[in-house]
Amino acid sequence: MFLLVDCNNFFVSCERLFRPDISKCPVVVLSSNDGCAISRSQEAKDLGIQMGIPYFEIKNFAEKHKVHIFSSNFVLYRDISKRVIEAVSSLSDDVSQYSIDEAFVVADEKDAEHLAKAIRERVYQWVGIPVSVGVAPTMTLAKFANQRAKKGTGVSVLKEPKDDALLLSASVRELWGVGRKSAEKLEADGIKTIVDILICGKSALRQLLGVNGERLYFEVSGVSAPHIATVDSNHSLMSTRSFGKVVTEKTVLEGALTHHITHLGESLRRKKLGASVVTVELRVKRQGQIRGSGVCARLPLLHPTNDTQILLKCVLGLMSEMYVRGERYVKAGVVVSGLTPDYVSQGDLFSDSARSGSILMETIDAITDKYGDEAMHYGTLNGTRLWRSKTERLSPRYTTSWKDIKTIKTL
Amino acid sequence: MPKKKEQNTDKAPLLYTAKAAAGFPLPGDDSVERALDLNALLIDNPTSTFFVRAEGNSMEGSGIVSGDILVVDRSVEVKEGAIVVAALFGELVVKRIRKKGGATYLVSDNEAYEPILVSGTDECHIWGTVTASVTQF
Repeated sequence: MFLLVDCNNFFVSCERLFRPDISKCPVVVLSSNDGCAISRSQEAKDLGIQMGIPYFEIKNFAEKHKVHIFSSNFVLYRDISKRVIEAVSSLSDDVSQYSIDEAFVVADEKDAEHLAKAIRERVYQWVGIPVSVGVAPTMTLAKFANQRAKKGTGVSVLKEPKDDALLLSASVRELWGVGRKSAEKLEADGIKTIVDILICGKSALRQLLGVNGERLYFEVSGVSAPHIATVDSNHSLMSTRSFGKVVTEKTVLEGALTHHITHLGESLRRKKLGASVVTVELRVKRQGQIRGSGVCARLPLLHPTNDTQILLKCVLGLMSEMYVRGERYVKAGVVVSGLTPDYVSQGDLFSDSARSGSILMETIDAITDKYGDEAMHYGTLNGTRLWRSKTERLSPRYTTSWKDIKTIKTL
Repeated sequence: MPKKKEQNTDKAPLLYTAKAAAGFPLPGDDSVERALDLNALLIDNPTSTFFVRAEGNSMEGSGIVSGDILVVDRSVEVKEGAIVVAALFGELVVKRIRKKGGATYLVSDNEAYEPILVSGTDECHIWGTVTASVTQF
């Protein structure tokens, strides 16, 4: 059985961890640059604040209803995300992180429900983050069960898809991996609900949506046909190289990492994969060491992506955090992992920017294909800062900065 | 007192933990010890451990001085007498646990504060157990 562990309103829950005063208040977290709402508490949802709505459109409304607005504090979210995954991993060896706030766990059928409850309890006890767990024989169904868990008691088990009236009558649009285009194709053929998929059969679905249609049929009928790479968290691509000399300047590291991630971005797009986790590895040579010692930092992404611009921002951000002035670097590399096929990308929130991003990427790929890698490159070689963002309502970095730790009164 | 020597040593299998890899030998493999690490001393469970700063002098009787960094472990079972961080009417505070007749109370060294019954609701619940306090001079 697959368990999908998903943090409830993750960014909001992180903001609430050290702020019990807002545990019952409407809370909204904005995307980078304070653009739009990306995480909402139940109270904010009840006020009618939509996912993805631009901040300027709700600013007055939010003030009037005393909604607590936060800028994205990714440093905090990443630390809490790491703790959530650690807490889940303390109960199971078979955990693969799927995104910053989701992980799949594989378990025997007889243990699955018990494990789901234990995970929910432990993550809340240890890290203070509420999670919901969907349990089902396939990943697609686990994702569906998770939505149900969110509305109910936090754990939902879906054992027999064919006997599950609620599942069967749900719209195909509610299924993981069915995007707008696929949904339109299905609906044009009269396949509106999930029971229609089962009636339709696998060969008809294959004709309609190709191999993904067949996969969808299996997944929905309870036969696991995972989206290839998602189950295997070790599946990764790597680009790494020794400098051949000692490097101390930050700009040289930036240049090397830009080179690596540009190549990885290209091969991700060529393979039609998106990466969910980016890792930067640096090798430092200290006095008396022969090989040097490695340091690495990982960044789980909000949405799987193969957009070099986004990946580059992540890589350079990670490097800024890792870089120590005066250290002697001998090697730098980038690993992208948690690879998922394009079509499971969850980035619908930013669909416009994602689409324009992919057009830009196609153009860049076309130019470099024709004129070579050096024809175009990202402007980081001269140390351009891409990492600054507008963050007016940023909360403290409670868990990663001594000057930011929470002050608590002794009473 | 030294332990009794193992009997039947001739029958026990010999187990080696040192690796016998070929190549450059690492001298003094058996004498490697890590330097003392305060993290290892103060933190049992990094996943569930958070740091906060104490403010105020009403827990000085318990050794917590204003400005101390408190090590708070959320995974530790809340026991009688433990110092805890609790969420109290929307505010995080440092208090001591007293269990009486099956009920759990939050008390203070400062007698000006009445004991508060822990209800487990949003108004009052335990956030985590303070496992150490770090004073910097």
